[in-house]
Amino acid sequence: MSGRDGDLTRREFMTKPLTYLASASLLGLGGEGLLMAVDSASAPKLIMRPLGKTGISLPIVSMGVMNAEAPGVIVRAWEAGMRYFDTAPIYLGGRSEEMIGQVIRQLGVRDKAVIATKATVRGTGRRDPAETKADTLASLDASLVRLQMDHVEVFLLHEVNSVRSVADAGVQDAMIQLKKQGKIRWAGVSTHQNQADVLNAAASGGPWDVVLVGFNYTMSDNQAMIDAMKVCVSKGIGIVAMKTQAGGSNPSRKEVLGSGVTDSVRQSAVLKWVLQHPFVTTAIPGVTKFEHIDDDIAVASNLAFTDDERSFLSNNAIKASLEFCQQCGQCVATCPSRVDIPTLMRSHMYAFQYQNLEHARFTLAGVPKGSGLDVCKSCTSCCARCSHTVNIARKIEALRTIHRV
Amino acid sequence: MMALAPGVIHAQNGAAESSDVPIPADVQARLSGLLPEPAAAGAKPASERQFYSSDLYRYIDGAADAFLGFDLVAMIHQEYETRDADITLDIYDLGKPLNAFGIYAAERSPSYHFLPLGVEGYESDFILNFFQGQYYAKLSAFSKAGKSAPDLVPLAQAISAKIGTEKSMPAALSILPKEHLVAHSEKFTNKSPLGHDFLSPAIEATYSIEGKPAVLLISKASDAAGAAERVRQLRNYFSKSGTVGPGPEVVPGGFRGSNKYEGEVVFFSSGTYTVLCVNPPPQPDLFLKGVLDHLANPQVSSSF
Repeated sequence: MSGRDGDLTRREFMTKPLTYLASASLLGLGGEGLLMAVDSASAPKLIMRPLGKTGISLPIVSMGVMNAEAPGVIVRAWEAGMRYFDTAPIYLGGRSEEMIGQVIRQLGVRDKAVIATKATVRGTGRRDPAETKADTLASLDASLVRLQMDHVEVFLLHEVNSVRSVADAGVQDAMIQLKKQGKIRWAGVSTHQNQADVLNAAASGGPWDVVLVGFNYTMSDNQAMIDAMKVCVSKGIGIVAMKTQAGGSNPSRKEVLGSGVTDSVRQSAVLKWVLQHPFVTTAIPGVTKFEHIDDDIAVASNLAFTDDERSFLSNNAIKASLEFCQQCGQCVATCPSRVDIPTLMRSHMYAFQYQNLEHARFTLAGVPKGSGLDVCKSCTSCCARCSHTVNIARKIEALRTIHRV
Repeated sequence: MMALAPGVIHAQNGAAESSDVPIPADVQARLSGLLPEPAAAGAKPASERQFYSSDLYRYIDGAADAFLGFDLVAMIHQEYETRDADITLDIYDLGKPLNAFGIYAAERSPSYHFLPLGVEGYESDFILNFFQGQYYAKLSAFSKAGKSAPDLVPLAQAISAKIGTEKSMPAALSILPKEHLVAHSEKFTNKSPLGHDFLSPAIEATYSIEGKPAVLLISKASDAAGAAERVRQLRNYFSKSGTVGPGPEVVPGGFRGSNKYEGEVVFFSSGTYTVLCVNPPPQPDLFLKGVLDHLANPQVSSSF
């Protein structure tokens, strides 16, 4: 036999975990005891950071389990040193929770793993607190069933977009109760819209220990959010970053993030950018394949940019393709109606990049009559041009839709 | 049976969200045409219709990746209100039936309570999901205080009727042998099967042989050389992560491998297919001969 492929007679035949069967065992077909704990002694030394005041430290890169369907990928993540696993009831309709629970149990590492899941609670801040409390408690109980666990370390109120949701008395009561019951160790919120306000509200009081926040390279000029994260840290709240890849794993965003660059360079560059902010404890890039883990772990042990990564991040063409409006104002001269395009572009950024519709509308409302969307209506198509390749017409069309609401 | 997870997140600011991505008017009209008549369902619309496509992240956060991975065309979101409950309806247009099956199957478990809705569906107290044609429909109910869970089936039936009368599984699933197949375990993956891009696309299912589970994955290449290349990549992968060697006693030209991620496997190519069996049964040659015979059957579809 050729040794090239590792023939069976010359190499130790590894009969370690049959991880893939974790999914089969979910079918009630057995699989118990198939997995053994993985030796992670050979894993590279990872940079660790404290998670707020929780008392634990985590590797700076963790696993967003979300849409991972191959249990072997989770085993590899554990082996590589990842310890924080983020899931939610909504991911794969609950299958994500089932799978991570099964793998962690079969690895026999429950006491070392940090499991984070979430509750989607309707109408927080608007409904009867007794109802939101009941929904929060019920959501966790259902998650624990799927996870086959008696507790999780981190339990997050999912999709928090307003201050009133953070302040929801029912949810806060539920979090306090769950901590007392030992069903959760730490409570938190995850936020995608209006993030600065949400973070500041969480920092102002309540049972919050952790926030999960969207943060990436495209938000480099969102000082309000960066300041809010620092406020959270000052109050002992740990920051976990999501959306770190700026949609880079989404095929529809790859073009935006730059063609002619390898996936690895793209992935590591934007991830390092996030983690070079020391207030971020850990990031949870989505992982669906083995390559992702190798890329992410390489970042977790060395945050220095390579030449390729530096080149990628400083590439003006890429920045332009991200459609950052530089607020230079040159476009105004190309518009026959002399519309205040820079302000409209800022409104678009608030609405669609920061997903803060309220602030977007507020900004739009500040545009004087005669230089805003009102005069855009007189044109059948946009003639304005951006020297940095921002697609003004598309953004204005999108702004029109929120303006109508 | 494990509880199902809720399938939607509601906009909490009370305002309709808008898509940053243009969705053609004909697509919007087609999706709108699938919404049930309010009177027939005993429900009235309680929100503006919303459409999403590649901006689905704005609606369901990271869960969007899975839908986008199956080439989501667009989805429509509509909330309804009945006397006893609020109901959320999401209909995803995946462009073709196999993609709709793919995302549907990714979210189902063989242990769920299945219903003869559309091609197939399942429900729990507050959730009903089904797929039909190129569409995946997800209904969620939220009971008002003191009220019991509403019956979502009439609403789902109304949607199914609007989608049409064709209710057959995607032809590509015929590639899976039926003997020993665990019901409702079939999957279609067009992105990173087993965590590897090079195996895309693939159809897989679990088989129960003498009470033990084995997973059969069939990866489709564009030609025989492509299938052989996937075998080479598998050999390389198992060589690096564990062990691999020839397994002619199992199947001619086959290989046996083992590592700590998948466990024991057998793999080989046959025509344009690369076949991988995880945790092969005690007599893998018998099982895999059946697979080979099945693949050679001209009735088997290769359309994936």
